[in-house]
Amino acid sequence: MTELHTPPYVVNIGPQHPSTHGVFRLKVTLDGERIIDAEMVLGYLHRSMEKLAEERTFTQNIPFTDRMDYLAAMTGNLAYCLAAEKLAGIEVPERGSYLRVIFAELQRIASHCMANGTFVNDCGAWQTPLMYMFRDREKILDLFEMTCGARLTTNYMRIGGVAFDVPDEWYPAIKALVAELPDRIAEYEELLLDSEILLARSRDIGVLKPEAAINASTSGPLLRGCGIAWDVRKADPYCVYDRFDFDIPVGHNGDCFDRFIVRLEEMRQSLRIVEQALAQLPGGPVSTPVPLALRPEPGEAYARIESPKGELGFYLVSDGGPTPYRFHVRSPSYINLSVLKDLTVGLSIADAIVTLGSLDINVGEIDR
Amino acid sequence: MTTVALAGPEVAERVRAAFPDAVIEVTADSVTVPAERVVAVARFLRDDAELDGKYLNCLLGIDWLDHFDIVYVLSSLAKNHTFVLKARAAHDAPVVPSVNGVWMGANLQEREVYDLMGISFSDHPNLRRIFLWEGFPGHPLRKDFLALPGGYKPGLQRFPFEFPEGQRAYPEVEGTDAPSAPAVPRLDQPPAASESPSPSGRGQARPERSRRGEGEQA
Repeated sequence: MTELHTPPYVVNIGPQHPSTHGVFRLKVTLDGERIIDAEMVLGYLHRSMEKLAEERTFTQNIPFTDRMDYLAAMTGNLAYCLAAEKLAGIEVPERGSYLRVIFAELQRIASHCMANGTFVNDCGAWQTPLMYMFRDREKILDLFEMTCGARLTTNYMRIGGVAFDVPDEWYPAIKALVAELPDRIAEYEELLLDSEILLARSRDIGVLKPEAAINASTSGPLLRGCGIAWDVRKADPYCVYDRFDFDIPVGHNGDCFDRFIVRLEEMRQSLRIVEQALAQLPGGPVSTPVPLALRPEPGEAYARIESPKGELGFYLVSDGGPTPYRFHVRSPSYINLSVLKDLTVGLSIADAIVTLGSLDINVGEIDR
Repeated sequence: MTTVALAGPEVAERVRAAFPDAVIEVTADSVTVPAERVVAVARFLRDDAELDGKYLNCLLGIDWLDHFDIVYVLSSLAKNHTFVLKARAAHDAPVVPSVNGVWMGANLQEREVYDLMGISFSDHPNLRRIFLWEGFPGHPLRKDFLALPGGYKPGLQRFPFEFPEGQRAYPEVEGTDAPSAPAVPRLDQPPAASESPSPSGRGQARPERSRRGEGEQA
């Protein structure tokens, strides 16, 4: 029997398409239903933040970091503040560091709720799991609102600490949430891990090999999904992460399903960290006073954290002036896309959409 | 366990052992090589058993006005250390060989540097603009992008609440009730010609807009 070939034709997925999670365009060339070439087109959300940041002071740049990964504003704040503190040699009070850890971990849970919810949505478990996960995310956003007044673009961290201490009504609310969430995560596992829809769509789809993952600089759940236990929180502890006991969940096959379960398990580990941090939370000031116009000594600094999407780093260069001479973001969503073409070529369109969903990209962070 | 940042001289020693004349500058935390040598050095850093720079953390360009630096932040996941390699390129028509063959993760980042900084990477498989469209004038992250004549820099050089150098208190202001804020110099040096738009010009624009608004309502 001879194989039937059709002339290759091009299909645009996006930029306005629910499966691309933002204004992201994937141009796929098809032979029948099989993808033979995939090319991404970026820049629909490019705001030139790196240039804008060169005209603003170190403190004025914090709100930009909210608007990069807008689903994880706290970790964006944290990475930038750590880089600026490294450049200027500023120490953060202990209570400030603990609050940073608590909010970063809550943000990780919220971001993973979104990532997993939309991922199973892409797989065909339409809307119900997403709405369940939004219910939990909502409670976390309530905690943010209680503390800093904003839910999405929080602008909460400052160079030298955090902007506000938590209010009194925050403690019972977070204790209730920490007590409630493990049951919720168990409920998701019960609902989803044996789901035929999810397994059939994501098992052995978009398999990434560990060597390729390292060579392509991938990070976060994408790297851990292929079995490499690399987490910046463990490997290079920032803030006070070395004081907490938690595990790094890893996958085995490196397929879409592994990335999904790594994220589910990370939510549980984040809860463990929040629980321990709440028990150890010391008193005292939450931030150290920093001059309005911070002028770090000339030099360069690269600081990185484990954001929900992967390794988020800021490379700052100072020339001694009040504004950064160079402000570069190592954006995990952007660099994780390096493997997208290799993962999707050979798949069908439906599987490519599941693969893209499992990468958990955020276009605000890709285009910056 | 914390990641160790290898000192520049330590890395430079290893590089010099393999490439005696490649290192042109060593600082406390980085090693600089000329742009044309970067691929050979990069491959050495990746495959060397001791340095083991298998993971490219990030790649960026810095415009130093007289030259460009391409910064490669590298790390070893097995040994948990990190170090910085820099490649130096001339400011006029900068070309750097692509390290895409050494680390696949450089592909997108080099396209970003090409797009925003205007550094060309030879042997790159797909060197096209990535965020801006083809035909966009200039490269925004260069320091001379939209350079204004006379070295004029927009914005405040000092901040309203910040005292000028050497001054410790607000100056005494006599014969007025106005709040005595320090005089803030707006410019290092004023622009050559004062071409501020005349108030009459602004006044004309406003009725234009309102008239158009009325037309739309009708």
